[in-house]
Amino acid sequence: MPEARSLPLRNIGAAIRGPSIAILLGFLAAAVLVLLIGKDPIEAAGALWRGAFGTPNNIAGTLALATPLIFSALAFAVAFRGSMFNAGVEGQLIIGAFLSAFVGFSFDGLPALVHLPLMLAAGALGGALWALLPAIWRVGLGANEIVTTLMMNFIAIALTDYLVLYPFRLPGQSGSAIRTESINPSADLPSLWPPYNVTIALPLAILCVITAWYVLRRFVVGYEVRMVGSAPRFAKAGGIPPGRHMVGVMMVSGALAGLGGAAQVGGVFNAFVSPFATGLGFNGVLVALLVGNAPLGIPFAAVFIGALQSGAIGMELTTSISRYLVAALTATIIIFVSARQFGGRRLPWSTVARVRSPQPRAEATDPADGTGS
Amino acid sequence: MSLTRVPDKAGPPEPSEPSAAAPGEHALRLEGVSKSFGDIRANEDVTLRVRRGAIHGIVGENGAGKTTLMRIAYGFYQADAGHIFVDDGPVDLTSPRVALGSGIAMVHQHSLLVDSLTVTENILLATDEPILSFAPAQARIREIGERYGLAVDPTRKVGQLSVAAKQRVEILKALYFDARIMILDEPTAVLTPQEARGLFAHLRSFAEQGKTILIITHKLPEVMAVTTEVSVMRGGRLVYEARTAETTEGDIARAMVGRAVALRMHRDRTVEAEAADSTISSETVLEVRGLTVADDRAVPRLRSVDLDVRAGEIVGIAAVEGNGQSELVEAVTGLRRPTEGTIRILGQDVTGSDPRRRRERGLRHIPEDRLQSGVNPTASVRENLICGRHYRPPLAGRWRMRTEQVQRYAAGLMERFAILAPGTSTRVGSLSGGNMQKVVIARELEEGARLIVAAQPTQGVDIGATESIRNELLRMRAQGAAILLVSSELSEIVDLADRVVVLFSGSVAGRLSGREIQEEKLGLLMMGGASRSEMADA
Repeated sequence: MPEARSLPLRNIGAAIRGPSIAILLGFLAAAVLVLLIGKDPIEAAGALWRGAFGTPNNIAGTLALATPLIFSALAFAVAFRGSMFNAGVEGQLIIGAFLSAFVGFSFDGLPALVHLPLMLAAGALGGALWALLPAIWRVGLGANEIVTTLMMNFIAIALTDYLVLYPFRLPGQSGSAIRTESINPSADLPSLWPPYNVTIALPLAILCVITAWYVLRRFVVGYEVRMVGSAPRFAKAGGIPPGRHMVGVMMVSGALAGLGGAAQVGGVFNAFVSPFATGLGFNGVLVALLVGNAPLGIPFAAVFIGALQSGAIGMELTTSISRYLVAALTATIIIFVSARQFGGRRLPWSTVARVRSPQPRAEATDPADGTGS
Repeated sequence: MSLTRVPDKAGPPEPSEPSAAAPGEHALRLEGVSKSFGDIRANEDVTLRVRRGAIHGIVGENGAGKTTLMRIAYGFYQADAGHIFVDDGPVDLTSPRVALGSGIAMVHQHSLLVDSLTVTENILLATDEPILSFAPAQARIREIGERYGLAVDPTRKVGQLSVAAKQRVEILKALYFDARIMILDEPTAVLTPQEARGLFAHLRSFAEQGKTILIITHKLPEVMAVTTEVSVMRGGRLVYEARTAETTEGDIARAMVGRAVALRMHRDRTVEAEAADSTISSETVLEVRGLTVADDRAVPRLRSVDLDVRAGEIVGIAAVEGNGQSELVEAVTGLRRPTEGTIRILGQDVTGSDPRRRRERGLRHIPEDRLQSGVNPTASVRENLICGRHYRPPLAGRWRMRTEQVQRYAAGLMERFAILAPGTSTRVGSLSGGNMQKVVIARELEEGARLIVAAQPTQGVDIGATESIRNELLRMRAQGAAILLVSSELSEIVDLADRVVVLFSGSVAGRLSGREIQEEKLGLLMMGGASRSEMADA
């Protein structure tokens, strides 16, 4: 079947074109911004590049920043492919992180081969359960999951704040960052590149990406999720139960987010610290948007966003241009990527709107005598 | 008389031709109005004269051009040709607001009010005068409401009102702007019989006060009960006009459906003969008992319906849109849970089963809304063709799809059903309507079909594809499938069905078989012709 084989290549071309144009335009806009404040854009770009990739330390920093973004972006993308808009990746990540930290510091004397998977599993479980509630509310009660998942973020933050401040408080701490006791070394994620924070979480994240891609593409459940996500009524008429898959993708999404939290605990902080995520979940949404929720694009987009963030710190140190320029740059890129004429995919919310209101009233445009007559 | 006449901006129209009526007798005249949408001629040279103080019924089948004509009359569409006169003065109705200025108001079938605004705010939406205070408008709305007996609290939010009350608000709105000509599009479709009687009483009192009412309807008893004149449209033309007192339901029904049935010429006689040879077996495939189904708002749409479909026969469901046929289809296919009654497929009770289990019993469904339920427009032809059997061998193993088999299966179906597409990975959304429907037909009629629920299978499909779809249904019938055919195309039912069940407001209005299946009889039953007595005292 030659046509089936040649198609992915053409798809990749189309998939790269949109984000590339958006990134280019985003950089141009940022350059104008830099000019307006009287600085040299070329110098800024150079500083940004060096900050991201200039030294081994910087490269490691970029990869360390990209790793949790892969998890959270994949979490968003998986839910989205199944028609769920998971705005609660951040909260699921935080709950997963706390639960993994709890497992990390509570068990003593376990071999790493047991303790490590146990800690990661706890993170995934926490995230999945935190995502399960909004999914059930959506399927059972019709509660819009964008609202409920968003609200669950605040509950997650407040709940873990409380847990860190009271039941799990370490005596003698003060200041703005409060932490639990450290996890046992047996739950530490081994570094791939000592002494840097590039841990086995990175290959684990990429493994998750490839698995998600393959399951969506080749598995029966993947086909069903894609049909539910793109045409729920069609799926239902064909005997695919939309509700079950909506709950399913949300649980997987939450589990991925929770894994991302566990990876941060085991690889970066070695404890649960509060505040924990500070935007990891939302930046993950940006990464997913950048590549139109295509799993295989996510690692590349995550490294790109990670590089921008890591580079921004370097740029601020060497050029006195604020690192918040990068936030503006990222936002501009996302705006350009959402413009569909650049070949980008549909924005999630336009698709969500389409899915939600399956029958747009054709009152005004119905040509032949309206069917209502 | 012409104080509120809007000067004609489009140059001098033809001088109004001398009509039989005395000058000033007509509140509204449409002269030689034509309107096309692409190749579709929705209205062709229609001349409609509406007497002042009349309740004038406009009737016709779906697609006859009624709604287009009324949309021209209230300024929503502009006619390609022809002229409009209000009180014998030429008008140029460039928008609904201009039409309202000329005294013409539309009361829509589905309320177009904004739920989150109050009654007063909704009514004032139609004006662009600056609003300093709602108090004067509220007082006026109260006053009009009391004068006409249309009590609605002007400060209530529209979202809190019942459907009937929303309709009263729409009428109040027309009265608020001194409309002298009111157009109502199927006003009783959303009302209970009691509410409908109340509405008719209001309409009569408006007419007595010199207002002119145009009412679009499908229902013959309503025409007889409330109108003073009636015009029948068919195929975009006005084909029949009469004073209601001087005509009968039968005459009106004949005028509505009595066309040369061109499509019958396309029926494949050989397939028909072949099908006739096969005896209808006594095996009951679908057995529906006491089925009552409510819509999303818990309003019962189907009431205690009994229905059997045997192997090798086509049972047609004839009904005007909105009389319960969609709910019947959804209940039988498992998309909507009935409130009462049982559904059996091949003797097994499937009332509580999901669509997949029913499919495994041999149910196939050609859905009415092709783009939402029939196909997934964003998915490939291949992905569309396998839906419903994608999880079983040979197309899938326990977990994974078998890519090679899926491809071979899809390519085979494409060839056998002559689906015109570049390949199996073509997006279905890029296909023509006829080819999309062929994808549906291929998927649903391939193998294992014991019960086929076909809802509007040829709607919006060209003649060639229509013919092949009908032949495919007849072929399935010859192979012993039981077919439930829902169609608003009467000729389709007459051509294909062995038996017909007519639904009217959710109940069985009649059952016909064999030679009794004639368009006129069906038309009369579909309009509730048999239950005339119920409406007569309205």
